[in-house]
Amino acid sequence: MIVDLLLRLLARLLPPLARIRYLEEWRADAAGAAEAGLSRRDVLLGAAALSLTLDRDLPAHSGEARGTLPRRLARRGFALAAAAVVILFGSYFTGGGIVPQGEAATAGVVAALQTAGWLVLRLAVLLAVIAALYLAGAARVAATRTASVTLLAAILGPALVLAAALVPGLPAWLSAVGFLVIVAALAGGIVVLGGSMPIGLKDRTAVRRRRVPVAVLGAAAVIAVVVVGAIDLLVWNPEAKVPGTDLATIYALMASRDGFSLTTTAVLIGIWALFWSLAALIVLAAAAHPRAAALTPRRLAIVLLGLVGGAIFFRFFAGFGIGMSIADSFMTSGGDVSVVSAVLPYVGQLALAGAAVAFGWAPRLAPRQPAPA
Amino acid sequence: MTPLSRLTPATIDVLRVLLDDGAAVWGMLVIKRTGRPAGSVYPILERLENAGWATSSWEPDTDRSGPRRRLYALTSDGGEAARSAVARFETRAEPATRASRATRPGRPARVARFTPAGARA
Repeated sequence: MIVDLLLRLLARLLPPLARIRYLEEWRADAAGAAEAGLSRRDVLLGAAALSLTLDRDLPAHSGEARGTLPRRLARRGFALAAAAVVILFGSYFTGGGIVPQGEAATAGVVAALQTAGWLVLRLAVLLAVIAALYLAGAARVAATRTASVTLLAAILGPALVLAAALVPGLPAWLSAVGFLVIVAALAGGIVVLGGSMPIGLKDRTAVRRRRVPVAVLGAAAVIAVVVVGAIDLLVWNPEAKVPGTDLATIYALMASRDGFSLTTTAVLIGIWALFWSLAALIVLAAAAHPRAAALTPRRLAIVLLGLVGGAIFFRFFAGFGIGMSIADSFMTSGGDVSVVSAVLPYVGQLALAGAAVAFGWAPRLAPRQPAPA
Repeated sequence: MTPLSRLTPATIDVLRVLLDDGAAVWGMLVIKRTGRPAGSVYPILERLENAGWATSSWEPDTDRSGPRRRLYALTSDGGEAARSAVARFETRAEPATRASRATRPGRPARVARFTPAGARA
């Protein structure tokens, strides 16, 4: 009974098309093991070895052209790694997350944001681990040794850099070795991509009624971020930086002490807002166009999530002037401290991470064929 | 049919069993006759099948109930390639065996492991 259960579990590790065949074969072998003078344990060990070594890229097992599986695994691995890197960089740039101040920053809000920061950071670590597993899987089934070594280098390089940065006591040169391995992986990647036989690309299309809702939702998200972000830069953040003072007084003091010009600042922020809003509206218009069938919901999501992340990242530059003016006028730090300023970086990181993951999770080229009888 | 990337002694053992038997052989009997662990034989059978050297099929209807046994046989091309591979292996192994016997008397010759499985069964 236990052997049968373990055989079923091992069969679950096989590609779906190979699963039924090998499970029946193993169960028959286990049932007749004594007849052959062997033990059921032998069958179990054999099944375990086969589940590890089976050629998963074989068309009969994968239901796809050879080479499709390692490419898909590698693409997903790199997408997850990119998502992890985006979040980790975001966390680094915001010093582990902005801690809000001001009247709106109640203890509950601060605690909620700290929890969000904790969760997002762990999400990045989880994504990095899953990315390494995907890349290792791709390395295992890759058709050439160059591809396998390149993929393993893509895991090893960042791992060495991270280890050197996070584990105390490790030599500093480990980081340099890690960067060298990353460069080697990049060079190997160019060689592998340049020398690979292209797999026929499938024309993915979507009808208008599937495109437009996604585009509307995405454009609305971009515009919402832009509007909220602009108001925050001009109103909520100055009020949070100088609590107890009304906005008109804040602006007047900034003008007198630092030569602050509200018009110039509003124009700069307006250019930022207009740029990203227009970009979102152009995507929306393109999605609504009858001949834009190639803009599938996934592709629209990638672009629009990218726009959300981009708008939030470049908000830093749009708000740099007013932030420095507040700092110089009131002898505070230049960093944003409003609740919105604390929330938006997480939104941006998750949006860019989502775009990366959506990019990696392209639909299969062809549906799996039914399992042979 | 594609050439095998590597021909290990275990692969040669499996090929010998399939060559000796001639007909389709149950996977468990291949394990028994080679004397190799299932963890070695199962992947070899899978590799031989994927490379087109061997083919497998479910056993014909029997009185036995339950899951069907999988039978393995060499393809016609695979049979020729297997005979050639075994012969090449034995040619290479023979001088090594003689050298081993000459330098280390009393120790079992490594090639003895590769004697036809039928002789041991």
